[in-house]
Amino acid sequence: MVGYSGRVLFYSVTVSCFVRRSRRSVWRADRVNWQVRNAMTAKLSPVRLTYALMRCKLMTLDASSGIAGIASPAYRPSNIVLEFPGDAPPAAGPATIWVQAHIQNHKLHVRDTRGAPNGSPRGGILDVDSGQPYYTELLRARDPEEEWKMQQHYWPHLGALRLRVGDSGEAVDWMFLSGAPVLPARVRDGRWLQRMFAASCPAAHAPQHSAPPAHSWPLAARTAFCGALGALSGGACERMIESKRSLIESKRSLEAAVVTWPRPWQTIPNMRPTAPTSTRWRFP
Amino acid sequence: MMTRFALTRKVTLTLEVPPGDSTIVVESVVLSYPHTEA
Repeated sequence: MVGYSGRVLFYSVTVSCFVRRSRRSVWRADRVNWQVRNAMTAKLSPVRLTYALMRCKLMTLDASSGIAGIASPAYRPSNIVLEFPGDAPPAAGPATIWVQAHIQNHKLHVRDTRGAPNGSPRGGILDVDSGQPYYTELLRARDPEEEWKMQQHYWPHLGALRLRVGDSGEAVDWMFLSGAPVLPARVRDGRWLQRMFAASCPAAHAPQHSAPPAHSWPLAARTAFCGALGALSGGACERMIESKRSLIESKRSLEAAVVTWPRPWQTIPNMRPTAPTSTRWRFP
Repeated sequence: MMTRFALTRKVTLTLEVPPGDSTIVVESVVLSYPHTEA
């Protein structure tokens, strides 16, 4: 069975459910059941039911439904309990959920990605041994493949919403995966994003991404660490961190720095950890 | 999840919000599932 949800300009929606008997009947059903009336053009949403069924129970929930969590700002993590009415028939197969959401003004806890921890043009302690400002060194040692390495699908947790379903929180998919770099200065600042999203449950095809925990640090926090270390190591550390010739190696070195070096708020002015996690930093 | 759903007719949806400051709003949710009743 294949069903479509279509929207006709200024007119209503047609949702079709078909009985699957053979491949031929599916083809016929698609062509017979579509009705577009009184309109020159029709816009079809990318919604597709891919399971075989005889009938489907379809329910749309929005702000008028009185469901807590819908049409109100979400926090982390945000749970929404979606309940079918009591007379809903029993399920005969996997359910499908479409979620429509928007994200606005997403900013990581970083003002300046080039290394100044407090957002000012120079951090003071971030000069290299040659006397050049830290900016100069960052630009000179910049990895030309930086954006490619920082593609969002490598680090989806920094800029995308993960959708989990069920009491146990089964991860099914991501929202707002755009392939854009996730460097803090470039993360969807001030843009409205809206996307219709489909997630089948259970979804064996859901991408499973893993990322080293150190990467969840804002870049300025990492460079702040680097500047502190650079005071001892002759400035080599900041070149290493920004060149990102091996991003993973850089982060490993920072993880080691966390163990062997005083906490950053002891050496970097105006820097303190933000609640509730200890691995994210806010720069006032 | 479907076993649980068959008993309670409830689905728990959890959103993991990315780190940082942002405004995230779930505008609407559409639920569907197949059934075999005539």
